[in-house]
Amino acid sequence: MRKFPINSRSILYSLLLLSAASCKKFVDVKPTGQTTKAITFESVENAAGAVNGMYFDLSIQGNIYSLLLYTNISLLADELNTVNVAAAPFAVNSVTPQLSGLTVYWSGYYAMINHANLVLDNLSSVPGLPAAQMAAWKAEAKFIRATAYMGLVQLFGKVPKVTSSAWHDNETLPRSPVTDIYALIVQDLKDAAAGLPHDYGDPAINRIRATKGAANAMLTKCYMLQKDWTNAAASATAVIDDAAMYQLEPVFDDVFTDNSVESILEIWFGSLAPSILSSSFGQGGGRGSTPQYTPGAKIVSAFNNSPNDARSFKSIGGGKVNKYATSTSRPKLLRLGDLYLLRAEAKTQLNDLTGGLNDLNTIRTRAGVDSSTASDQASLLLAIENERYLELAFEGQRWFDLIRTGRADAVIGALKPATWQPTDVLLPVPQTEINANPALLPQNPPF
Amino acid sequence: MQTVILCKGNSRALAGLFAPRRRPRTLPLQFTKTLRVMKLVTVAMIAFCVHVSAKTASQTITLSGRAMPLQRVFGEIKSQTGFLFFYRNEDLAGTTRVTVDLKATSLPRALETILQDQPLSYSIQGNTIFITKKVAAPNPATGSGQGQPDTTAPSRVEVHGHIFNEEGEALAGVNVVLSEPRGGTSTGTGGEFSLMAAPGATLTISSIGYAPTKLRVKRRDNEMTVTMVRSVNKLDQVQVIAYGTTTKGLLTSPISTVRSQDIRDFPLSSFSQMLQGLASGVFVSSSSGSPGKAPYVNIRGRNSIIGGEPLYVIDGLPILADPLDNGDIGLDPLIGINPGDIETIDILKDAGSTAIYGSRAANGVILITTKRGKQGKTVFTFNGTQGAGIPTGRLPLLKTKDYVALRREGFMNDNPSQPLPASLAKLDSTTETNWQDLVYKPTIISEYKLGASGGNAFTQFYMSGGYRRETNALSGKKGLDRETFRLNLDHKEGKRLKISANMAASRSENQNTADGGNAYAAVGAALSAPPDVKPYDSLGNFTAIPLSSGQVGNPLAIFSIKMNNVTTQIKTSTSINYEILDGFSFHTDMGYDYNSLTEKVYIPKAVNATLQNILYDAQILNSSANTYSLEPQLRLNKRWNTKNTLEAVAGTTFQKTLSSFNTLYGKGFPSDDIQEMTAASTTFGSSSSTTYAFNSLFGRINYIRSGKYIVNASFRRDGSSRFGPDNRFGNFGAVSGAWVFSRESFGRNWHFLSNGKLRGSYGIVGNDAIGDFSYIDLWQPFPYGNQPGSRPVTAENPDVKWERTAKFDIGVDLAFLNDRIGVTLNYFDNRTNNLLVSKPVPSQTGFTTVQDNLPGQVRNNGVEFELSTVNVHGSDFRWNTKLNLSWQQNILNKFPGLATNSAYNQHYALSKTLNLLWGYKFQGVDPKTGTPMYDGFNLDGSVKDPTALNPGYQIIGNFAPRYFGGFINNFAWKRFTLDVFLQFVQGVDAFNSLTVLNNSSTSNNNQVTDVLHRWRNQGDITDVPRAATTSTAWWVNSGIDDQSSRFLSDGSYVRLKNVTLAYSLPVKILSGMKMREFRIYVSAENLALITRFKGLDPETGGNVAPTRMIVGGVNLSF
Repeated sequence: MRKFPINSRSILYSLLLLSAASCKKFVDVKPTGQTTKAITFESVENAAGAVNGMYFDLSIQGNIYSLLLYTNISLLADELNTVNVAAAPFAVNSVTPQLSGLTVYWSGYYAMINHANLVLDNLSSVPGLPAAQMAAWKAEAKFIRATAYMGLVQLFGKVPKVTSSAWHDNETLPRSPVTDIYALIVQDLKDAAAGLPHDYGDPAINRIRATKGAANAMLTKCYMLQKDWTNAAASATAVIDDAAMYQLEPVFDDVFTDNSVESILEIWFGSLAPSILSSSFGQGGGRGSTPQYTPGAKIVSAFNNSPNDARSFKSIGGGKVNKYATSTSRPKLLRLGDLYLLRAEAKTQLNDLTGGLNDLNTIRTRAGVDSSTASDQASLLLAIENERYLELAFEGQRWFDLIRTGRADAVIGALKPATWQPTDVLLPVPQTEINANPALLPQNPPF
Repeated sequence: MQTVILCKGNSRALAGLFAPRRRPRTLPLQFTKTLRVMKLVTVAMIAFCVHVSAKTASQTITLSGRAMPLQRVFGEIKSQTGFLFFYRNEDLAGTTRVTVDLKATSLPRALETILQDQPLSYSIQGNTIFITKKVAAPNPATGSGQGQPDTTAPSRVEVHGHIFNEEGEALAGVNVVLSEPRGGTSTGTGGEFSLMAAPGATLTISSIGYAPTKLRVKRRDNEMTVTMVRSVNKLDQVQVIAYGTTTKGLLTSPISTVRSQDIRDFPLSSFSQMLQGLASGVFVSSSSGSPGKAPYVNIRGRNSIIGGEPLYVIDGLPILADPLDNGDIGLDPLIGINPGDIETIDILKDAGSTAIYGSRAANGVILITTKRGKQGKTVFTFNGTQGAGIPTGRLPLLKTKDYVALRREGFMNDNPSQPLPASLAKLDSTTETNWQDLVYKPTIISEYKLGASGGNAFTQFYMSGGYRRETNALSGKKGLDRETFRLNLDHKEGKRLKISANMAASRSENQNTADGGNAYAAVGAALSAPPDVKPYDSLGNFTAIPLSSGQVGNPLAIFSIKMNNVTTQIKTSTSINYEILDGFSFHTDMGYDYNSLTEKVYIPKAVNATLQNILYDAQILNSSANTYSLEPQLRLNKRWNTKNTLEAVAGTTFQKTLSSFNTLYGKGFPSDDIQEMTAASTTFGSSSSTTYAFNSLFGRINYIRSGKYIVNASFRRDGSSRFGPDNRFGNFGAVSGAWVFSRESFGRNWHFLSNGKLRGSYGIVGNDAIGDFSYIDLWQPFPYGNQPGSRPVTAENPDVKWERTAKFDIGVDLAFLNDRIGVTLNYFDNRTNNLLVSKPVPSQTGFTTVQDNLPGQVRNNGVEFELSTVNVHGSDFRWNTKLNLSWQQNILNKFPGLATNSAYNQHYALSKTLNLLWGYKFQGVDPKTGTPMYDGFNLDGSVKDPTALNPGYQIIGNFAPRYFGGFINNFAWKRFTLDVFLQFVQGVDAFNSLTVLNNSSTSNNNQVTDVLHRWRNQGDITDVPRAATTSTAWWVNSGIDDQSSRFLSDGSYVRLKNVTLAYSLPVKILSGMKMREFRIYVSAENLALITRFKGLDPETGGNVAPTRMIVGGVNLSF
């Protein structure tokens, strides 16, 4: 055999060297369109994004706070009609564990919780992050986490209490008692109220990110759930008295403009407009001449019984829900009108009927209807319930009000006698979740 | 030189191998020893040429021995050369034993030596050596073979002829054997021959690589023009394999090959669709009858839970074959390949042939070889096709009268005492709209291909351009407009340097209205739209149709949505091969593969008014992928002596794919006049990108001994960026072997057996078909409040690793009666471990899935059978049959802890197939109430066993076929050919997907006429539940009905897939026209379907059913 020519030998050697040397490097590729957790928390700028991104879980198209709270949850109550077959089980309170539309209420809230936990667990490793900034961001994460647990506990009752971001450790957690969840929410919101800024000094952001006011407003709701009327009234007052930041809009329709002075927390839509929210209710550019969701007969007649009500057009005008009329209409997760009525309820429960009546009539006056003359606790509570029905129609509050006051059985049972069962006050845990974690058993009754 | 001309058909022949010396030709008609030797040298050289890539059958003989019987000597020569011997045993009776000492002696010389003192002579025809009793040299002028005057014999006549191949090239060195008087000659460089023959005698014309032809000598005018048809001996056919070639006869693996002539007449746009039913073990299923949609291609069953496509390799370049995603059914990533440019498609199935592709080979490999130029005069080819298609797969729907009655009955069943609501009372019962008639349009198919090929001894080229236009059965819009271009170049310099370059570019455009189940679902809309609604209102606007889901509107409005997809592909590969030493070369493949999809959607204002949940008025989506690859290799091809051949390859792969995805949305257009984003009042967009890097070392050794024993071993070490740093590299490999027992001494005595080979392989291959970076904890940017933001999107799992499939294969190839019957039988048993899966995790973790490996094992085993027979082989009538049949079984073999793993025990079951359909078992309709009954549920929808994890949810069917195949008959009568192709799939269940939509009896969708048999009165026995409204139909609300066996039917079918009738003009006329080919044909696709399936089509399910096409075409070559 001849010897290899020099050049081919060098080719062979360089080939072997090349492959040996570059193998590992060549396949060590970094993601380009995304970052990793390590990158996310390696700079203050990226960490700021991780904190701000927590709201995306709320605003993501078609998710709970951008649609499903106002459609399906309103269907559970006595507010809406729908032609959407997929939503029909909500309308007749026959949600089964297998229903695919149920899953998002569980997974959506836990995505928020995980995101908040990741922020809480990793901020301390961000180099150069000022302590004050870290505290504010942690407060914001706690607000997000508490908000998600508020949704979960009201819809499902007992739920797993997840407070760390080690996802593998959370896979098999069972459901915790409701009181434990409340305790976590209250603690988170107290921390949030302490750490969050009063405002961000930027009108464009002030009402779309959590503030001290938002934490106190959410805290009011949590105390109401626990029938802690004193604390509820106190935290509501803390927000209502902050007139520099929050005031009732004199004209009701203006409540639904973006950055309304009444808004405590709005969900931003930005460039993804028009939202599915507005088109689902038959709004926007002549689209959807037949909305999927229309006001139900009961709420229409409630408005008919409230003549000259300034809230009528926004709620049922033209047979449509007009609260999300414009393409960027931001849902109001928390607003001052809601707090007035909550405080009215808390005061009434504390037998401060005058205080309760005052708050109620503040809202009625703005709506251009006669002041309430309810004179005893029970009738005042009913008047407040009805006022919330009209004031907060289609804002995702009615179902939770009826559950909180224990009135769902009476009110919904009367409206939907064929399909209502007393156990319908809680949604079942999605079957897919039980499949993935049997420790979630037992299922909510009757399943 | 004659040999060069003869060998140019085989572009892989190496010029340097023409070692045998050439002698000056002697005159024809003189049957001298010199001539005979010359002829045999020529034959040997031809044989050599054809055998070149095999390197197994030796062209020289090394043999020494004392007093050997002739039979043994012949057997030895056969095993060394692959030439067959024909003799009568009685002729050998009087022979003596021979003593020879031959060293690398040419075949003719060896035969001369051996037969020197024997009363025997020989002649070589094709690759067969005829041994006959020695006769006196015939005297062409006067005598018979016995050398005695034959007074009764007619006088001799002169015969002149020219022999050409199908391309019209003159064939030199062709054997012309004459029966009377016995003798013969061979053709000269111009393909010419002449001899004296007795009228009525038979001329047998034969040449290696061509089918022998027989002609009768006439009394006068014996001026013959003969066209020889290429018929390479099957075993000597060049077989493309990974990183090289071999021959069919020396394969150790089951490889199914589809050739250009098998698919040339199919009026389909995609070659992958054409594979359906043509190759055993390969299951192909169209996703839609619309052109340009990606078909599902599976080789030997579902290896893993994530599934996965085969690896496609075009001319050595592995290409990206992930369906291009436009949010609907994926577009065919291979649509840019013009099937007319394909020479062969080879399907590699077992570990032996695929392990060298390592981690990407688990699902098999499809090698595509495109046409290459041949030395000679430039040949032009033209193919034109024109035809039409008829949409199939309509469902019988209710007429308005029955539809209105159903809606009203539903309301009254639920609310017996209430009056009809206004919406039902006012239903317009005089309108009768047949939406299916309005939606389906006949299709038009046109295709034109022009090609040219040729070259000189150093450089050859093949180039082609193609244009295809096909309309869509839905709407009649552009289904596919495709332009393809290809240039393949080969260049040789000296003996050692070879360079090849392949360049292909294509542009495919379609305006397919989405036919899947999304907002623009056209098939669904056509079947769901109520019949009592007019398509247009009195002002000529689209009627808004308020359908239940709020998602499907007026089908005609849906068609007005402008959706234009343009796929651009550039695939180039180049290779340089430098032979450093004889048989040892440096080879490098370099490739670049570019794929781009641009989708433009515009929703006209008139349509906008009828649709809901529309986020934008216009969308531009661009998705592109760039793949670069470099594969330097060293190749060894060494034969030490006549018996031992070693072939080896070692190399390394560098490959990187950069993908990007950009979307731009716009809304608020002033009018429909400008539909570009510049006119939009608001635009918003997004972009993302990802990288996939791949690096490997690989090698293979192939050793062949005496053409009988072949062993093969291959290895690959792969590194993929898709796994974490600790699991990035994986080792794969295989061993395989074959034994050609028909070349053994005992095999030679079985004359009925022309080939017999036993082969087997075992090896391990892998799968990395998961998303890029799915092992890592990714955060994705999402802004909020006009401020930057990000959120976690994947749960990290650094432990995720390769899926590994151990593949075992054993098979036998048999050919009988001189290859008239060919049988291939394979058994395979593949076991996959470390199943890659997107594992569901409870969403309390913040994620819904994590990339993981399951501890289970999937087993796929099966039997494949291929049969080809030549039933009739007359001079006028020929009939060939091909049958392929694949039986497959897929089971989940192991899965520790499955019983308690509730995330999986409701999708998979031990010892059952992965392809299970789960749902609820329909048990008929309660005669009392008309309520459907399901196993595990009471009549009111409550569950019978509240403690059950998922009550009533069970296995109700299987969605992968148990067996499938194809049956092809080719008939030829004179210049006519008729091909009939049946394709079948058996033992599969399928949901009548659209029937689900249409048979719910609760929505305002129109219904299939099945609901006419619905329950109406107490005591009715039927299987269609009562009409109801959504509020009370718990079976609909709960989703149980949709997932029930009520909508499941047998998805087995037999399809008369293609019938083609063709006529070719005879050579005589052609040569007058200076043409090589003039062929006209009529081809009909999808002519008939036999099935019990109740939906649109058992193959395409809820999407557009395959159209029935009839095309006429012409093939010209000059």
